[in-house]
Amino acid sequence: MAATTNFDYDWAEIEKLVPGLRGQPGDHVETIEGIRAGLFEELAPQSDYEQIVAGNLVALELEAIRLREMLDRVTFAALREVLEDIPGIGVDRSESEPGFYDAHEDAYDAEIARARGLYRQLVKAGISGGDAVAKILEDRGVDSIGILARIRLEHAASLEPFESRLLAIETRRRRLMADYNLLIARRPLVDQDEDEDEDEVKDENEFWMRPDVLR
Amino acid sequence: MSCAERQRRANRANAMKSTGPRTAQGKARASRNARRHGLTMPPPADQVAAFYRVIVGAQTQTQAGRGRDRLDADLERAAWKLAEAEARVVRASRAIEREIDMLFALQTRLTKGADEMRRHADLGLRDYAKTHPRKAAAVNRFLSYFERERATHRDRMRVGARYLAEAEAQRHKALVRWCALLET
Repeated sequence: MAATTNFDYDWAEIEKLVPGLRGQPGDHVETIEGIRAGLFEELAPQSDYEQIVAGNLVALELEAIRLREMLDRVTFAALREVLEDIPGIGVDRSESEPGFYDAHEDAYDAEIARARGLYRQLVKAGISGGDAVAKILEDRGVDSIGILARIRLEHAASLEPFESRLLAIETRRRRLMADYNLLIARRPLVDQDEDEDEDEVKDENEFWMRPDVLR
Repeated sequence: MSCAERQRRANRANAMKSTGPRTAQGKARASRNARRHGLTMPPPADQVAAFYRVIVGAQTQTQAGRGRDRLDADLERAAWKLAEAEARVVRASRAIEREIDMLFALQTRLTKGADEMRRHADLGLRDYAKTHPRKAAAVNRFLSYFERERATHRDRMRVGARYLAEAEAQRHKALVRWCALLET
């Protein structure tokens, strides 16, 4: 692994041993690289092994980001399902004519397109803003917390794997950070001392080389 | 000779003919019959060696490790243990990641499937089954397949999580030992 100065890390080498640092399909490359570089700058690993442990810490952060995104998508799908069951709130199915989903790459893209369609309908009807939507829900005796509670109850099996991994990440991160601190406590002293030591040795040599001593 | 006795003899004679796999390929395949997830196996040697090189390299970069020309046996063993634990962590993490990705892909397919169902079935599944028996049966088959697959991947994820926790505990223990030896 290359020597590290000014946070110039050999990412290819680190990624070989910490696969979680690699970008994955669906990742926003610039965001991932920004987070990676920022966290490394903060952790400032010096030895090669410190780089691996720091890499693991960053990989945990990236895993948490990916899991949160997955959880959001699952929750989003569940939210729509719950909303459709509420009288008067149901999504307008005219948006779902045959071929609607085929025109999009995946269900998430289709959801975004459909949400845009719904938004256009709301704008046409003169309704805008979250408060207006909350008012509509309130008029029907439904509050947003109630909806979230319903999602958690009805879709617990779908959400649980992602949530349990997210919870586990918190503990793993704390423990790994303690290990990292243990490791950095074994760092060599600053280079200034090193130079001083070398000077002392040089001085010692000079002492023994003095003509009066040699005599 | 009774019928049952004849049957028993025939079974025994047939069993004698069966000697298990004969080709190297068959033997290799049969050797993996009991393999479930492979997380208890020793980690790949090349990966352990890669971690070991990094750890030993780091040793010379520490204050205590500077003056040492070579590793003593205890320190060497501790470094190997740490390298092995690191490789186990990587393997278990990958296993979990794979299962999470599978679960997410399944969930996305369910969303698509549920949309398909809703699009055709405003009447509800019972009425839908009357009007569209074939499609309703396909929907039911999909839902039971989904539940089965989800349970499988969730179980595998839990197994992976258990091995990951074990590997991380081993790594912590090995790191503490390695650091302690560096100071002696």
